[in-house]
Amino acid sequence: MVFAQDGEIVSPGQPICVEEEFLPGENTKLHGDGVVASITYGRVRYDRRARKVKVEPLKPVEEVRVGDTVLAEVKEVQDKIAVVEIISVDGRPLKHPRTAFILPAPRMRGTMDEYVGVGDLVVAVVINIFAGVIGLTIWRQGLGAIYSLCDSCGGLLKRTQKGLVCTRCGKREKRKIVHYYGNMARLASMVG
Amino acid sequence: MEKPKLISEDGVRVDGRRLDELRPIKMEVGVLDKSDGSAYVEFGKTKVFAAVFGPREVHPKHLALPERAILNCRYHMTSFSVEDRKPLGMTRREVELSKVIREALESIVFLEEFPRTSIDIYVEVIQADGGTRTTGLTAASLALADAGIPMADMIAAVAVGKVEGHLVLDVCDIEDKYGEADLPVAMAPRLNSIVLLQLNGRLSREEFQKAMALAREGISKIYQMQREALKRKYSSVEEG
Amino acid sequence: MPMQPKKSLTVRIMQDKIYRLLQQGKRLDGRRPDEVRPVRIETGLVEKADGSALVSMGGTKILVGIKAEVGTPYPDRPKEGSFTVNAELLPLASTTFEPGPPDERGIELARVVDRSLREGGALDLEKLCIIPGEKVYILFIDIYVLDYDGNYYDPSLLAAVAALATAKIPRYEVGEDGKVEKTEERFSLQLTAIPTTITIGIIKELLLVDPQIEEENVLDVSLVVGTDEKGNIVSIQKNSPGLIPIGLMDRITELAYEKTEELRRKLIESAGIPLP
Repeated sequence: MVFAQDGEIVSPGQPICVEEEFLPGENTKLHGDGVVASITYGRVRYDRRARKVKVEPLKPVEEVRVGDTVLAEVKEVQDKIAVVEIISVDGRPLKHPRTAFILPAPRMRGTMDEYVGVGDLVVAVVINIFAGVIGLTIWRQGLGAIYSLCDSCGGLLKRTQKGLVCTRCGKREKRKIVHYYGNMARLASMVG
Repeated sequence: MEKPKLISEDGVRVDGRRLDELRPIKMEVGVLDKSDGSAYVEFGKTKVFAAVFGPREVHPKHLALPERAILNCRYHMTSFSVEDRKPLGMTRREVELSKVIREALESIVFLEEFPRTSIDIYVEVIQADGGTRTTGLTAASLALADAGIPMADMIAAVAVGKVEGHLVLDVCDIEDKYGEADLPVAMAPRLNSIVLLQLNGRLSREEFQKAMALAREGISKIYQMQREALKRKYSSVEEG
Repeated sequence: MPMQPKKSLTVRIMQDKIYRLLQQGKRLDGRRPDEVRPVRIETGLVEKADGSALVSMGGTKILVGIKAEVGTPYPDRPKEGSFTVNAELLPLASTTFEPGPPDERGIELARVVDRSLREGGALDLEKLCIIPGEKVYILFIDIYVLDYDGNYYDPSLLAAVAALATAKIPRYEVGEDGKVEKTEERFSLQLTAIPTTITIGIIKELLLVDPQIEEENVLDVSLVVGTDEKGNIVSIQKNSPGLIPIGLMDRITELAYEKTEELRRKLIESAGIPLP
């Protein structure tokens, strides 16, 4: 028995079909009476070959997933980790910013403050999420700070042949940066 | 004030309804832009907004749970929603209703999908004419669905009253005020479950059974309207 | 150029984007810098209130309700009724509003609306007297921000004025025993002025009106200016940190007059308010 057709909009609790017809997939739940019902507000999608049914949410909940590339603002730098706030995921701004941690490189020498500073915007990849705690890496090609602020005066750091130099006080700083460091247009597109 | 006659000889109520008749109901989904999901619901002159935020990070952080999301709910009435101006801030009644509404919703939301976050639900009563908690819960459930939060079912709710010895569906304020009993009921129909139940007043065992049956009838109609409201929102998006 | 307070990188990026648009006479949502968002006014939707109005200005929605009570006048103003304005920034309106008693922003909003009504002379308070020195009407004007997409000031005052103008206040009369009693009758408040405000935002040397939230978050500074229909300025509130360059004040004033007048016309038309 099929209660909802392919493409039909269903709401939570709404019966879609019986288990004999299609097995429960994403966003569905099998009830005791053999009925597969939706658990979200979305559109029914049948996969006839796999004999499975799922529901595609109309308004998916905002989530960060392992493998996502994120833009984050550094809030605090500790000895071996940095605390950041994720601003956007794959170019889509987050409505509710999420706290995450930049984890140390496997054999990291020195301390985290040699790689990122407070106020920096960094590009990172989500490598694990455990019990809601998000772990990030910047230890790959193409990841790191895209714009940085001077640790002493908060001025913008500019890339020069001598490395990063503060545009305000002239101090030199160390960071792990991306190759397009300082590219405002690219940054603006990532902020969303 | 002297108690007015609330039910006529031939079973017509003070606002012209039959004993088992709901008030005119209006439901609209996605009415407040800044929330993640929202709804506006009217049961007669009872008018309620509900909005959902989240899942989002918990503040203060130490309240976060590693294994599931926490659900917060605030049921609140505007100062001009009632006959005599309600003082600002939360009354004890509002605190209690916030709790029973939250607990009703906690029983259907898949909280374990979002550890260390909170889902915050705000129910704002802009006019109260009886059945505000049930209208609020009906609206909150729509707002949660609109926010894309996974749930085992929707919740529909209504209050049954006993007025001049008769059981009546969907009590309005004056019936509540002069009636003998008020029984707010919320159900998750697909789960065959009751998720909110309170009684203010006195009912015999038989009356209670009848009242629950009456509530169930009303709830199944409200539940159907919720589904239609959700469908309507999407079809209007498609056209616009 | 004066130094504005330091901002985070994300704020700087957004500010830069908005500033560049302003230089071309444009804004994020397609408006001109001096363009107010569409205003919609609906009155009387809360029947239990003595007056009510739901005003939306773009994505910002404000609900105002009025309740009249009878109380004693202030000793120094025995022949005058009174009004009090309260505002609650409801948590369902924005991620930045927290549940709880009104915070400083809510209190500031209420006080700006209060001053605009009071100094704008919107109400003839002597008409709200029942027994001089003993009994007067007290109007509670309660503002609720339902949806917050920037600038809750201007729509709050519009809603307060619309609610007052369309209110039907229960009449109290002195009975034979000298007691004040509520009657079945209701009366309208005759507004004696129609104050409106406009919020003006500043980035560097450029001005914009009625900021929406993305703009509000990155403005160097902003202020609210209220006028009445006689050409008086009746309220001013610099409502954010930052510096207002003195040299901009003439342009600000000019813009404020033009825009408050425009909002006043809209209010009179859409709420059907008779001119004082």
